[in-house]
Amino acid sequence: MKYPKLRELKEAITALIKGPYTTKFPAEPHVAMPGFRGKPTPDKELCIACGACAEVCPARAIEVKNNTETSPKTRDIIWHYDLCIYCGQCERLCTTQKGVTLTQEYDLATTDRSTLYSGVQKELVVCQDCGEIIGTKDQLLWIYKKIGPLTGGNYNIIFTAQNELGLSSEDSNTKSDKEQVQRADLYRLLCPKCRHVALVFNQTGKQI
Amino acid sequence: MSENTENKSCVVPIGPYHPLQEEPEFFKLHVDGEKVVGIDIEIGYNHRGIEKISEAKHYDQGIFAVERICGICSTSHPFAYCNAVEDLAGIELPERARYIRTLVGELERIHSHLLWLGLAGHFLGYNTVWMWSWKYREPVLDIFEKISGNRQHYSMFKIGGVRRDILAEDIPWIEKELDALIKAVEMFKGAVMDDPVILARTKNIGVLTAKDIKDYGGVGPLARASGVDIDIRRDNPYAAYNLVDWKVQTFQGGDIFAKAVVRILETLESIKIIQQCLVRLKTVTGPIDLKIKEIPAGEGIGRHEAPRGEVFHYVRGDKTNRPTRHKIRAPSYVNVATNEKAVIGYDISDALIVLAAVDPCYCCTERVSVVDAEKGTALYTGNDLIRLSQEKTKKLKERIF
Ligand code: SF4
Ligand code: SF4
Repeated sequence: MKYPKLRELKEAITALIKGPYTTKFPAEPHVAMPGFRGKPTPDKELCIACGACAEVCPARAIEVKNNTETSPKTRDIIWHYDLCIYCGQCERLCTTQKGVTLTQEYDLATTDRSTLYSGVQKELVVCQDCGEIIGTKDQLLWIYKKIGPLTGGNYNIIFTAQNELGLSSEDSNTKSDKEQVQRADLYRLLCPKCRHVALVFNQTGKQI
Repeated sequence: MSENTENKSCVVPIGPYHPLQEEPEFFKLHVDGEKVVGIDIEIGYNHRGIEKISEAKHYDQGIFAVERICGICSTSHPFAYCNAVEDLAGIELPERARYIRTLVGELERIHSHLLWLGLAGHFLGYNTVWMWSWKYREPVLDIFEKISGNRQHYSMFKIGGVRRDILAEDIPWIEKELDALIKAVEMFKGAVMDDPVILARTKNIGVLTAKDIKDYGGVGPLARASGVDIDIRRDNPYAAYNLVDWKVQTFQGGDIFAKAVVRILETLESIKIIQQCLVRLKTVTGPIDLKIKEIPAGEGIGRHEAPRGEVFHYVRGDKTNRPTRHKIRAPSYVNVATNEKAVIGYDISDALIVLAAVDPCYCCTERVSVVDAEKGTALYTGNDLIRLSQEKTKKLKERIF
């Protein structure tokens, strides 16, 4: 029985010389490894508030809140860290691939649950007929940048982009141009349903 | 303790909250003097309805739900679930993904077995074993943090592959950590094999014969410690288990000592598998996942040898993006029942380690059964449940198509 004791003695002495294996946390901060899946932090600029991440989040930790009573109308995308399971799905499947990143921050402990969130707010573009949400302004601009000339006949995107570039304004859309074009009803910001009505029914004079 | 006048034995309750394992379960030990003469096992304190939750999630999200069945074998359930869905959809994995999956699965086995070894030491009152084995478990968790982004709940699996690649620059570091780990596990092997205290507490205690294992349907290291040579990794190979060289570890005896030895030998075998995977990962290139567009209608089964035994998942799909039925059978569910054989006849002071030798994971065991409380009979038999599930599928089909 001498040999086994020697082997364990060696281990004990090594431990004694090397000191405790545990770290000094929290006295010394611990830095997580690169690539650690910590707190998902949205990017105020690059997130376009499309809400795709809320669809794929397995824990339903991302809330999409449309503020239709305010002016201008806005959409909030809110990450609730008390519900989040830090899986990284929102980062992996983000529409712009840069809207949200999982940071190395892990120490989120708090006594107040209501502080455990962060989010982005973006302006909404709504249908001029029925008030239905078409998308956020940034989302339409992002699509415009991505597909360029292929925007073709999508007036919503063209108009939002021109508006952003200062080539047209809310005014030109609603007032002065109206008389000069034949089908002025098509040159409006319309949701798919209202556009369908405008195209199919208004043309034939049939009302719904 | 309460007096049980009928058979002149006392009842010692362990639970419903295990004092040492900090998990909800309830063992009622009937003792006559020092001897354990009977045991009642009550489970069901932790039912979370994961099967139902999974049926409400996309196939891709379901992985995160099943991953949370258990924190210790948190890759075993996704492994079996992915195998099941891939069986259903007839997906062939790319080679690189196979090696990464195998590597993650085996790393998990190492950390789980080291965790058990530590706990076993703790139950024996041998806290040095506990401290040391958990100390050597840390580097394994560090490897996980590096390759997957988290120490538990790795989120590595995805239908048709894995989510993260293992970077070439990380491989030498992982190999270095594993070499250090081999020395530590060899030390444990020696310590368990010839430490007089451990021998006295574990030899010929809690013996399960091969017949007991077969009667109770025991799986995993528990079965292999009784000489029952079963291992899904070899018997029904998946991922890269048939591409690397390894052996199933069995041991005779069926006592706690045998269970400890089997687990330690398996740990060494797992390191061997990982080392081979790392070598292959240096040369095997190609995609780590496939783009899966659609999961067809049909049934699939998936199995994985988790650290505690065989995990079984059954998935039925109806061409939508969610499963209509998802059934899970976890190893602890069958293993916990073997306690009935293992604990009776031994001293109550040994009962704790005997109950822990199964490496029970109570989260795994929680499944539902509907019982008439007054008569104490089960309301639904297996066939009733099958009929109910078929009816529901029919109803769902009518609604969808
Ligand atoms: S841009 Fe990305 S982060 Fe922002 S709402 Fe869309 S998917 Fe989510
Ligand atoms: S990390 Fe996962 S759980 Fe957390 S917000 Fe993103 S998708 Fe949801």
